[in-house]
Amino acid sequence: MSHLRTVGDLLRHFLHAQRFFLIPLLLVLFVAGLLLIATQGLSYVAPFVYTLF
Amino acid sequence: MAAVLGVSAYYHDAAAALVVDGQVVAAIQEERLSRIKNDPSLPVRAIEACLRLGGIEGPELDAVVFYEHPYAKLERVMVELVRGFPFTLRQFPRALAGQMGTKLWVLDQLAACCSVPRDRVRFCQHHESHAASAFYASGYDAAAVLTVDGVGEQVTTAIWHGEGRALRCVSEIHYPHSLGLFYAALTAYLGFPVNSGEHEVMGLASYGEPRFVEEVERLISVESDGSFALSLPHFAHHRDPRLPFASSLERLLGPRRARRGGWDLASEGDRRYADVAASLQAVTERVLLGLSARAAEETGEAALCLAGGVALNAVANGRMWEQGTWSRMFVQPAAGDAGGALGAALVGAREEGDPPPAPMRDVALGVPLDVGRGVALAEQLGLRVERVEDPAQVMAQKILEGQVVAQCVGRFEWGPRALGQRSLLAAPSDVALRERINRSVKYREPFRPFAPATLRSTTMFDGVDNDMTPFMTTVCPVRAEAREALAAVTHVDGTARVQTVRPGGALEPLLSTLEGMGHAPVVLNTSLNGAGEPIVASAEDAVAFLVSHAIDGLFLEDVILRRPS
Amino acid sequence: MLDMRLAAARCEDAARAAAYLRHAADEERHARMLERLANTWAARVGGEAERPVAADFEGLYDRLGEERFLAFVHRGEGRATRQFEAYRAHFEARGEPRTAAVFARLIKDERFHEAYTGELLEELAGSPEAARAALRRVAWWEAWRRYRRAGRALAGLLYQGSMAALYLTLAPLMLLIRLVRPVRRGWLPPDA
Repeated sequence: MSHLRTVGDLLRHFLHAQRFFLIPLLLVLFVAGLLLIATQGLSYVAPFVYTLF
Repeated sequence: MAAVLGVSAYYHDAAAALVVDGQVVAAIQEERLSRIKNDPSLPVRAIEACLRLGGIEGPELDAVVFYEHPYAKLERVMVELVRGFPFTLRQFPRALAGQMGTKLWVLDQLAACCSVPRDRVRFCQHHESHAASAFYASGYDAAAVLTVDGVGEQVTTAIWHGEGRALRCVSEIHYPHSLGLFYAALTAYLGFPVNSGEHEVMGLASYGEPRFVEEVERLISVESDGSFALSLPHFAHHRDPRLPFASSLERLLGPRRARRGGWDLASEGDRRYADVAASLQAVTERVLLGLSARAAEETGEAALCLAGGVALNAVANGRMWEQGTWSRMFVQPAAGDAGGALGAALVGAREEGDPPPAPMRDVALGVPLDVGRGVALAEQLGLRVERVEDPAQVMAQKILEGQVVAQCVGRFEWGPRALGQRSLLAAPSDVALRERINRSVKYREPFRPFAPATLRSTTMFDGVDNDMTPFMTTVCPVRAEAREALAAVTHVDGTARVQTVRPGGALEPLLSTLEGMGHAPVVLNTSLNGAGEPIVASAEDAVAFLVSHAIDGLFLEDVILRRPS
Repeated sequence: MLDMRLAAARCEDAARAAAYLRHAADEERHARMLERLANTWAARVGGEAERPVAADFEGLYDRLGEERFLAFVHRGEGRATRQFEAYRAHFEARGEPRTAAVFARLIKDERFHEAYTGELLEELAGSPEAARAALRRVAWWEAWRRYRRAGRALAGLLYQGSMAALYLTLAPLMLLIRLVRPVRRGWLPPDA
């Protein structure tokens, strides 16, 4: 529910009069979010050094 | 009356601060507790510690205030990614993963972490949190407030007018024109890490001659109205934050310095880099003086408060003070992003109708020391443990004998400077001892200066009577007759970043004891931390430091720990 | 090292906390030794050493609990010992006794770490059999962790590729943004 509130706040921010031209960016964000969920984010590049010790 | 928690996180220097009934109860940088330098992650440990120190549970908080506008930040990030097409290709996936994966949801995370309803979590603007952290902590009735940093949502520099409880923004400069990012780019050029190497550049600058000012001024123009603008083709922060400068900057100033390798200021190469640092410092000061003049003009005030990462440039602060524009100047000690947590809490307290806090006199706002735990660990590690009746006397004696000792007392400091609560102390006169500390204890470059702590009544420095010296946020000239006695704490340019200690300060017993023994009440004071580590917080950290570093004793309140003989 | 420090901070038993602190101090010393070695080699070839690799901090003491944390460290120390022994043999064979001596010093400490963590693990677990069971559980956990890391790395590559394709669609937006949101210099009114 809390996350829905954030999504709502984000939409309200981007749908402000001065920011209508940013609506395509909202679409980009939405697609990026889907890709993120689908592919679980960037490579986890934490080094394996610790396994040496 | 309200309990308000302020939080900064996710960019660098995460922190939490608790304000109850308008008074600052606790303020803690996450790195001190996580032991990860400049830790940017959500400051869960700092939040828990603040609540414990305030004696309240999360649900009792009236508000949790985040230090910047997450949606405006996301907007700026996206606009810049698109504006920089096609050069932002590599940055694009990482930036969006960071925003969509974590940063966008920070308000929800805070609600969960603090167990408060989402309605009670809000945010303020980044530069507002900086301005509030300085103005409300200063105790001034009215002041101009100058906030200068890398970038918040999109503002990089702002002038504010503080009057009573009101804090009004007057003018702004927007990204990508940023004094903080300008300094950061040249910090990277000089081979230092960005966001932690800037003070090393400041120290290096005094060893150089500003003979590249003309070249550096081609990177940043200062206008007659006090504003500035970067020559953007020379920078890359708006395209790729991994390398903040473009190849054209190297064509202008010469090849950048390799990140590795010790410094040798006798070599031509390193002297040249020192000259670049000196030129950078000179130009930065010029820009700041222009901003300062504009702030005076726009507000008509006689007092100035400073915040934002650039306000950590103590040398520039000293220049602004020397200029005489201001009758009072205050720099909030945690002037960087960590200070935003305090500012956010103070903004929240104001919105809840609470009175302003008492002027910041004491920054011992961290977790108290558990001496018993330290002693128990020390005994297990085979260290020598001795309780003494008069630790100041014993410490003074050791310092006079040329020893290096550490002091841990009470609650640890707020901000990046050690002010006696977690300090390494030595005699201020012995240059060889200073070099030993740099080489074998702190493992840092030889040009890094050390700072003195002294009583406020000192006559060994000029210009110490201001609101900045109690927090080491400015530099003062060392009087000629005192330079020999203060050889180890006088920088090559004849200045020192002095800490003046008030009655009741953590170093007052030691300094008063030295004075009583017929010696100057001054010590070399440096932070108690290993290379690349945050300043010590707990007794475990202090004992760990003693085990790994060749110092002559660690004072945990009235207990001395020493390595086995 | 940071995980050992966390263990020292969290562990209520002073004797064990002290052991973890000493272990962290040893790892810190090892890091400095290896950094000096890297700088020496770099200087030999006129190059620059890589930035020091920062050890991962995973909050393992909190995540695994003390018993499994000890098992994890014990296994890690054993692996390190074997790796360093291989390096020592390699450098001895190459006629670099000084480098081999560095690894010999490291091996001495790693063997001690392996031994004391094994002893503490048996003490906490209550018996050698229980200790072996803890070691097996941690071995499975490490295997699962390696699998997840590999999975995340592959997923990350897929994400990067997809996002690069998405990025390429932004070209027309770039023109729009440069038109409606030009870079502005100088003083601006608040909320501009």
